[in-house]
Amino acid sequence: MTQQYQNSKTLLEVHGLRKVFGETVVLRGLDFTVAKGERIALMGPSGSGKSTLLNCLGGIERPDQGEVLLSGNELTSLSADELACLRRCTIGTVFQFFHLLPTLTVRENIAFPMELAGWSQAKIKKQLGQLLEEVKIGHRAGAYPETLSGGEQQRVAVARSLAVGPSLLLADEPTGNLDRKTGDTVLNLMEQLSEKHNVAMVMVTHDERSTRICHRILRLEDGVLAGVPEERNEEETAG
Amino acid sequence: MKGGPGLVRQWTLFTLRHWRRTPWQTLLLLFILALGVATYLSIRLANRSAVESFGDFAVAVRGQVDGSIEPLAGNLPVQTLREVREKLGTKAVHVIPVLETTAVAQRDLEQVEGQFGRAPTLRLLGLDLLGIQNLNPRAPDGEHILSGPGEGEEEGDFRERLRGAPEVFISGPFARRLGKDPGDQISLLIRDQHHDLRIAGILPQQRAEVSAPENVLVMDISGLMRVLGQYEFLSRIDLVWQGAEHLTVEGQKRLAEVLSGEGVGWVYRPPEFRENETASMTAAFRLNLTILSLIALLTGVFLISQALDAVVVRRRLEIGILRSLGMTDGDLRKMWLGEILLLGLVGSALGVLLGGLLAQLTVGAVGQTINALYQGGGTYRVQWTGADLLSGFLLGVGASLVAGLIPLRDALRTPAAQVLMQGNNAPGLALLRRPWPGLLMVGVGYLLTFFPPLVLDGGARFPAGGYLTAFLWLIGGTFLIGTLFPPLGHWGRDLVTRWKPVLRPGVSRLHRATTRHRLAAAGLFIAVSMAGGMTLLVGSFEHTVERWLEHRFRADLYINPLGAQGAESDHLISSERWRTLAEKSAVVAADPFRSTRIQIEGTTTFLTGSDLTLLHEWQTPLWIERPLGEVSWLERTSAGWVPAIVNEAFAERFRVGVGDVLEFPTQKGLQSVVIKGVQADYGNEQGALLVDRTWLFQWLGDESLTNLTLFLREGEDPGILGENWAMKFPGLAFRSNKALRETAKGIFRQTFGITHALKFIALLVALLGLALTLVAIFREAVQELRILRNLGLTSREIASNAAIEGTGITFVGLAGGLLFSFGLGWLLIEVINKQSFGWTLLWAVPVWEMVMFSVGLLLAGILVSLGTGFVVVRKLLS
Repeated sequence: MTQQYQNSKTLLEVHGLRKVFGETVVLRGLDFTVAKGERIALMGPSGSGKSTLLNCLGGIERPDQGEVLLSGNELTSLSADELACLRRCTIGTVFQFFHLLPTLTVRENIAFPMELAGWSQAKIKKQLGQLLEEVKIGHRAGAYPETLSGGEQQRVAVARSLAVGPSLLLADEPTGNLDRKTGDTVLNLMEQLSEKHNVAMVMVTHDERSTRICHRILRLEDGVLAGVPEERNEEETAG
Repeated sequence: MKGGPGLVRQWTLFTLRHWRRTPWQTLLLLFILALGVATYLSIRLANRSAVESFGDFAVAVRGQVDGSIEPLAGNLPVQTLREVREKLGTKAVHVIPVLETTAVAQRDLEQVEGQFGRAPTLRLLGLDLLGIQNLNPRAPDGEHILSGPGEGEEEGDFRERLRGAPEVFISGPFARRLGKDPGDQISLLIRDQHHDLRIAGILPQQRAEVSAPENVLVMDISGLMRVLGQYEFLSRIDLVWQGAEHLTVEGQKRLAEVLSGEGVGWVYRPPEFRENETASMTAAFRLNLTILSLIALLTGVFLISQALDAVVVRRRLEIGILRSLGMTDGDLRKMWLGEILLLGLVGSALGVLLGGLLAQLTVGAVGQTINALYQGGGTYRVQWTGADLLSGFLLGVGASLVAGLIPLRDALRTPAAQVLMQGNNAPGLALLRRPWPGLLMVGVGYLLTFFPPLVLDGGARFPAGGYLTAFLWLIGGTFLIGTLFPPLGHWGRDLVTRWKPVLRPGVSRLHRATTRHRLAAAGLFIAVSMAGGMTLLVGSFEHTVERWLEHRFRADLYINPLGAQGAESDHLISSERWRTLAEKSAVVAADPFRSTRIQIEGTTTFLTGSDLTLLHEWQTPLWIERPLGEVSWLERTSAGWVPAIVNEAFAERFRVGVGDVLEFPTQKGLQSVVIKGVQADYGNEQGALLVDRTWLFQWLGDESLTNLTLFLREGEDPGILGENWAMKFPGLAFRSNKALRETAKGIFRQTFGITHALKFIALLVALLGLALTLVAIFREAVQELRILRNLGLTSREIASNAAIEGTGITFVGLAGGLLFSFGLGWLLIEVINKQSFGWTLLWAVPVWEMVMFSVGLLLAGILVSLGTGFVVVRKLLS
């Protein structure tokens, strides 16, 4: 399986990525690639730069040096609006604290990125039905986030992140705020959907067990990737 | 890039749902905006209503006139009718003589127990009722407003009826108020005498074009002449073009040319003159109220800004998520502006409704004040126009948009959810931390005080430079007061360390005050500065007027017609009566006073007559410019000029002083006076030219008086004499020196009644704003509050910490506001008042009032802070 991604077309390329906050060097010249549909776990101790790297990949933070290419587009050369457009259509994000919009129902939360992307109502309806079914939350479609359990909220967040068919999913500790069982359910869902929609994923996690859905693990220590990225065999990946 | 959800979708998805989730905060926000709009609108409506009510009520009775012949001073001799007719030649113009005076219903007087200025003044109109039946009626339904001969009544019978006992037509609402019907008797006080008149009929109240105002009474002119015992004079002559349509502007011009001429004691006035005259007379007063209401709105803008900022804080995570989902700055800006737009629209709609209600209350106060200050008016009714609605909406939406600018900046600087941290994320407005913009504004403002006032139509002056200075000082002050936070925090830290260390975190946050703290203090600062400045103005005015009263009113007994409920109502004391009183044995000296309007340089002012020799012997004028040497007031100067005194307002208005010569037309030809002195006079702002009464009587051809002042022999009791004489002269009011001063003070308090109301509204709005800002500050400090809880502080102690911040903000707003209120007070007294009214006021600081006001506000601030602290902290930490 790993071989399959090594041979497939590259989605994300990171070259010499360096990020400094004040006098603190957070990322010290990172180089790696992510193939289409590949799932990568990003691990490391607190303060190692995981979240900063994720933000650089999502165009939230601008690197001080190096480049990030997503589908051939150099992110550092894009304007703020172009980056926003990229996040809107190409990148999905899943947060540790779900971050659903509190005034929107489940249905509206999932549909909102599609509205932002200017989809027609018919297209939104079709995609919405499919996503609600995939994340098994159709029965709570009219509910507001505050009435949902943590697992349900994260399932909605996953559906929202995939709503516009992104090619890259960035997940920041997606199970960090869930109990083990619910976390497993969410991870399975993310794996399943990533597989089905051929979406690459970079997931920050502290939990070794969560890496079971990933093809590779990148370990970050003091802003550098520690050793050769670990490749996982199919059994490991299947968990 | 495609723009995401449309405006309505965005309102449905976000704005309205947030409003539903936080109904109280939303209602408070809407209320602040609505109150600002309502205050402005109610003043606007009340102002207009007051002016329009003076408008052409005679139009309601006669139909639209095409112009009037009016006297240059006093009344028109009856022979003017013939002169006008001759001048018009064969022109197809109806000439309608009008005799007009004021009256008071006896029952109204009884209800207010004879208090001056309290009973509604009625306008009594004498018209040629038979003559106007022949006019071409211009009301759309083709009926005359006044019924002519009744059903089955021949014209001859109607003529006979008019020749019989005088009758009066009254309005429906007035009839209902008094419980009277046609055929009943009504007791009226007209000039200085009581009259019982039969009610001939009811004036129609509502017509398609015009309605007869409630306070209008109509009589046949011959009947009114008999009632007044005056057959030689008219008030004016109305002209009505005989065509089916009104006279064009060109036609009016031609009419004016025909009727103008040298030597005539009258002048042609176009139809709109009277309304314009009233509007210009009261322009400064109304403008001042409008400015005050706008300053209340300015306070509102600050508070709306704070409240919107609180909304940004509450929804910062949502903004961060939207950014993470790919919303651009443009999308967020559009979304935020859309939200403010909705807020502006809803708040303004509520404001327009509330404004209508407030106007019903304000109109009475404004009307009564204008009645007392300018001329006897009557009842006022609020009427809306599309322009009112539009201006209310535009102002509300505009204020919201301006108020939303800083919060918008804050919202746009909110990062994506990935990097959004809990805690104080407000980027702050660095400018608010710098004192130099404030110093610059204060400096530029000071320079603007040297700008001369703008002269409005009709001669009223508008101190534009002064108002601009007030605006700059208020805004500049908001930059400067922030500098009070660090020393307050420093001082407070030392204090609480010794007294109650548990409050130290709250005080330390004051030491490092954020933009939000500064904005909250700024809202209070503006309200306190404005209220303090007004308090100083009113206090100084009151002090000055008291001093003036001491100088000016030294006589024992003051007499005026009982029905004179406004300073300029047409009630006069007949020559026969005042002479009888002046010759009483108990009287050692009498000062007859007469006032009449004149036009000088196209501006209305007052020509007054008094016994000037007596004035100098028995009373002490408060001189601004003293006469040089002895003046013989009864003799013309060698150059043939009549010696005169002007008041300060006159001197300012016409830019004249001692030694200047003025010319003005009267019925007895052109008169020339030389100014010998300028005196303080806080009785009117339109100016008064005072000559010895003998000159005025000569020029008017009439010796009736506006009032009479008597000096009594030693030992005579003015109270007892007044009571005795009141029995003999039931149409006259006799007031002692003390009673007159009380009356003057009553009018004074009435004049500033609205000012106090506006001050109260501004402070209320400021306190509401403080509560809203505190919610935002505490919400943003939630992490710190949680840490305090983890450190073992009780909810009460955490809330006390929150309250100490609110108290600190109140203190800074109050201290800064009080300091600036002295600057604003100086501006109001020395620049704005001087330029508007031309009055010199003596400084007086109402210490007790200001101390009570400060303590009250501080206590209110502490209560608001405590309340908000307890509620919010409990909610945030639950």
